Amino acid sequence: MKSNQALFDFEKMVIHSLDIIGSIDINGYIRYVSDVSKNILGYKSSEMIGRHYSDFLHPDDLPKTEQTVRTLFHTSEKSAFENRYIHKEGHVVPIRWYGVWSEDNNTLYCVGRDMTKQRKSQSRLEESEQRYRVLFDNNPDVVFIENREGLITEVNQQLVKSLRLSEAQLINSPASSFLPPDMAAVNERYLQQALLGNSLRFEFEFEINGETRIYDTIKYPVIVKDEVVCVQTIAKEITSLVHSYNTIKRQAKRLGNIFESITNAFFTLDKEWNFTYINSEAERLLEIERGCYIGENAWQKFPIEKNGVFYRQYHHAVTTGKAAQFEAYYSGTDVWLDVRAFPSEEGISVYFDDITEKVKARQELEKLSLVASKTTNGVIITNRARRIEWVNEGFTRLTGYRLEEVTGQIPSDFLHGQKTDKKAFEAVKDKMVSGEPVSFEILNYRKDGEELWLSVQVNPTYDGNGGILGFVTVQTDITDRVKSQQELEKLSLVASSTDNGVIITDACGRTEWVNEGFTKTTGYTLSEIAGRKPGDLLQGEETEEATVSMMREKLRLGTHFNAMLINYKKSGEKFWVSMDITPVYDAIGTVRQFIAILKDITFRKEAETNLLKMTQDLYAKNSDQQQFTYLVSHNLRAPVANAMGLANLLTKLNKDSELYDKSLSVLNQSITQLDNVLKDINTILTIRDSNGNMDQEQVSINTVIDQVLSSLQEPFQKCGGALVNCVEEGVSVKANKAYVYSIFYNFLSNAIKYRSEERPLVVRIKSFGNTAKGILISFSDNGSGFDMKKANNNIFKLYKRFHVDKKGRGIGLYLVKTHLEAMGGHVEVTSKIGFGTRFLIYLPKI
Amino acid sequence: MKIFIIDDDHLSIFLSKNMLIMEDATLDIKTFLSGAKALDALFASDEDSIPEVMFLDLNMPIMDGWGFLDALAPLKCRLRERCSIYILTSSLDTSDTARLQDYPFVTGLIHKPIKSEDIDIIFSFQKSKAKSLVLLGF
Repeated sequence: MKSNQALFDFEKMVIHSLDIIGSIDINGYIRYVSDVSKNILGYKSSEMIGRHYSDFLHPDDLPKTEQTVRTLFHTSEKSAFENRYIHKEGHVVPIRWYGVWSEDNNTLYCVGRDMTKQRKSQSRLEESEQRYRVLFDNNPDVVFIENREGLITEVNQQLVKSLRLSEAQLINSPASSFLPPDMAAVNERYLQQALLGNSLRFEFEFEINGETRIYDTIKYPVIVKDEVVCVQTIAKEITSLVHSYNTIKRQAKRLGNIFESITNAFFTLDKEWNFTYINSEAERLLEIERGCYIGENAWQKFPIEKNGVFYRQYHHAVTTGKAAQFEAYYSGTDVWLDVRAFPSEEGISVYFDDITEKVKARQELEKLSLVASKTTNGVIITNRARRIEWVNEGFTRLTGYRLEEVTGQIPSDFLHGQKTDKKAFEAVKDKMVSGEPVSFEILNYRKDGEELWLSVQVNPTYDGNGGILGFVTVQTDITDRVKSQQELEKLSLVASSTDNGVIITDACGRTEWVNEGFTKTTGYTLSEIAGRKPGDLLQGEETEEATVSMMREKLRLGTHFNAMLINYKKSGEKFWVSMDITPVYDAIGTVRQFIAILKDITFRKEAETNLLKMTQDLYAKNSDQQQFTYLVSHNLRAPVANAMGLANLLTKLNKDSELYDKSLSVLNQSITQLDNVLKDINTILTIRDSNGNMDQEQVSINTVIDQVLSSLQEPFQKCGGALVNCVEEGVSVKANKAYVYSIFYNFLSNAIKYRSEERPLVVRIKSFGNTAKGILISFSDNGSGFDMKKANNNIFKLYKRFHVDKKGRGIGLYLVKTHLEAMGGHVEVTSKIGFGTRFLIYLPKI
Repeated sequence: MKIFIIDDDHLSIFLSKNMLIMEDATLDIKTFLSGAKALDALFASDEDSIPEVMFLDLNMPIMDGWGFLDALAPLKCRLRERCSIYILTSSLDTSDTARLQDYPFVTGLIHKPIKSEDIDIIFSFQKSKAKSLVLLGF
């Protein structure tokens, strides 16, 4: 049982062993494999049993394995070997085997352990060691290790290379073998320190092949289990570093000298804006004592500049890391500075120059060029070959050419035209080219072909050596002036040759010039009138004051006007003149001169007067004609019509009847009436024909009044009339006596006829003086009067009557008027019903 | 038939009046030497005393024929149907004829002296007018 139990246990162990347990026959076929094969190789034992072991082996391991297995067969030695299998899933599985050959049953019993984990950690270790090895060997610094005895155990490639000794020469030798004695002593001292467990840093300096090398050296102990087993030394060569540091120091010193000697002002600021350096030029420009500024904060020293241009520019430079260049005004010393600021790790370096002069000059230039570009004048800048380099906007406005069109051209080539006086220009040009400033007036042509008169001023510009650099030309448009001058020339040509008088006065009206026509017309020469107002000489007694004040007003307003007035020649002769007065304005609109053109219009005025008289005559005649027509159609035909009717009636009547006799009597009256009208017509026509040709004599008014009174004595006395005659003795007038008689006769007979029934008739006759011009006589009565409104203007018209109940033909007052007018006089009447009538007659003294 | 003659010339009135009476002795003729007097009579008259025919001279002192016609304006409506106005003038002036256009209520213009034929036409017109008035229900 015991053996059975043991077998059972043995079987269990095989089954549960983590190692793979198997057996192969002499031909290499697998007889048995434990189930753990599934875990290690991915195959079940049933899949493997009966197969050849090589089916699962890594192909590369096959020869080695075959060799091993062969040696295992027929030996009793236990042997261990390692090979690799391919897992069912394809990855490699390293297995370490123990095999034992059993001669009895020709079987190789094997136990295999999965070495995957072990292999992995092993290869990691190898890799790590290799890495450190490489680091050690290839380290650019020199590395070596000394043991407790002070012998070198390991050296790296850098040390070998540096010392030009082989590794073998170095191993197991003390460091003193390759170090110079002083350095060997230093090394020994530090080695002892390190062996005590301290890390140390020091500098080695020694010569190799005549070259001094400096090493920054670190020695530190390698401690294993609290015991220093060896000392590692790492030495970094810092020869060039030290050299460059020295160089920098030397450079800095040298720079200091340079900074001092450069003409630019210069200072540096550190990151905290503290002055680290200020050169003497900066001292001078900023007017500071540098001793008081070095180490001080710039913005505390220059508080006004804080947030100013400098502040902003420096900050910007520092922030962006880019150099800044700018111009700025420093008020502290009243200078303009050109500043360049270079930011660096240490802060900022600032160079600056005093450019005050330059800025001022440039500002001047800017001002000038602003003036040049904005002025209404044309400005051309040419080179010495007179080719255009620049023109301003004024030039473009004047000529129509733009800068880009004319650059490189010679101005005269495109500005001159057909009527330009080229000869004159050539003369000027020669002067100009010789360097003389010239000014001239010339006719140019605009781009659109329009004529352009220019006043041109050309100034040469010089270079430093007195050579001509170019020319600056300033053009002024004088077209208007030239045109008006030409107009004036033309005008004065016209003025001097015209027959009309021409006067040119200044703005105050004082004569500057008169033409020959004026002298011919007025008799005054230029020398007589120059400086005087024309009106003072020419106006006189009959010159209308209203016209003169109108002229004064127009002159004051400065408007063109025409006036007609009476003037007097030097001889005193009166003449009518038509005056055309035009103001002449200057460019800004103020009156500069007046031009007056005088025309003698006396002849015209006389013709006008004659024409007016003729028109009036004609009108009078026409009006007479109309009255005459009326007279014929009414007053002459009325009695004729009656006569005709009565004659017709008589034929129808019985000759013995009373009506027949009555009709005959009426017919008789009609014929008498007809005769009267014919007589009247005769009278009227006689007066009219005698117009201006009647006999005239000195007529005494009182004599005529007496005659009239005696003629009408009977009716006058009958009605109890009284005459109050206030006409002085001797008042006489040169007139036609019959007419004067007729006038007073008609007045008196009317007074009697139309007297008032309510009071006795009183007639008053008065004369008003005996003036030089004529005589005025009033004839008034206290009769019935008439309605002025109803009478309208008909009172003196032929056959107009205003009383129905009084007999009258309506010819009396017509005759009064006609008689008076024939003698150059006239008559007026005023009347009021119930009060009387007053006639006023005027007779001229011829 | 009632007739007015307005004329400042008494010779003309004598002639006109007798010529009318020669045609019809029954005529009721009133004569006026001025327009003013005729107007007084017209304004004073009632419907029955308004004349059927009026002869008006133009050339008169103070108020001429035209003035008279103007003064008639207030009576125009009353006169239009009842009264035929004839201008009786010696004037041959065409301007007078032309001026008649302004007075449409004037029936006609007769040049002096008035003739039997004129009177015949006037009377026959008056008769036809009276007839038409009757027809119209007046």
